[in-house]
Amino acid sequence: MLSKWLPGRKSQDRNSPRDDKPVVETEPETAGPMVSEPGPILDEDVVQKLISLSPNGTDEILLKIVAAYLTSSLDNMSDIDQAITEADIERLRHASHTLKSSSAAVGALAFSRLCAEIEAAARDGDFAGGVGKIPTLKTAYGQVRDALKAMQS
Amino acid sequence: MTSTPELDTRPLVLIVDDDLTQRVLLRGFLESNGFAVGESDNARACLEKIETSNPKLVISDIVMPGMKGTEMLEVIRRTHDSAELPVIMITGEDEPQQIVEALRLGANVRVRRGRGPHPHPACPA
Repeated sequence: MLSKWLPGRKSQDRNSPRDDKPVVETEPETAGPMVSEPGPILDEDVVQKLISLSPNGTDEILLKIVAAYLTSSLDNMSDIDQAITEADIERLRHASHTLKSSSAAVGALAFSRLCAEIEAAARDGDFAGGVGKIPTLKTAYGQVRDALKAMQS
Repeated sequence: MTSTPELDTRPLVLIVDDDLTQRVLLRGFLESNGFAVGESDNARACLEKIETSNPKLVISDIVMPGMKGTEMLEVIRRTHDSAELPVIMITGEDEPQQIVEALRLGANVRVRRGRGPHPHPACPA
């Protein structure tokens, strides 16, 4: 059903009424440095498992999770900005930790790994190391948002 | 003639996690498997819900602002043993000390947060 949005697009239902919707692999709107560890923006297996949560074969639960992520991840990114402004390494660690988990939950695994790198730097007391990854984080976040929003439209 | 509202007979699970995405994910998973779900975004609110409802299970994150999941677990175990109110603690894979602490304090199971819903809540890693 949602295979057209997924990176690998192993199959495509040509009879689907959503055939005209964008795919995840479309060029992101956000410009900037690339993620250090390239990979699909959204992991197909995770998205398929989220789809399987809805007992009637719809994407109802998936779309609720996506909506929740688009809201909560904005708060996390704002927390990260605030942590940098205030040089608050514990806040940076917690915000990147939360973003790591929720991003993995929606299938944004490469982005989640980037969050984990920032969390690890903060945990090790390497504030500058964590801050150095923020431009890449922001670019990758834009790509994840674009991909998830494509599911909603 | 007045109708009586239907009683929800599904077992109640309380979720506590400060992250909205994780709560929505858990709710979807649990409701699609026949559970009623209550949720809180912090441990103190969850403790209040335990007193005012009759949960059969609590699923809690460990790392939360304010009262941590392990601190909440300690409070729960003063009045509810592990058979009366099971508690599942969810952790990241890089938190071994917190896992040990949670088990010491009476967590029934700890679940490693997975790369999606399977494995995820109620599916021990």
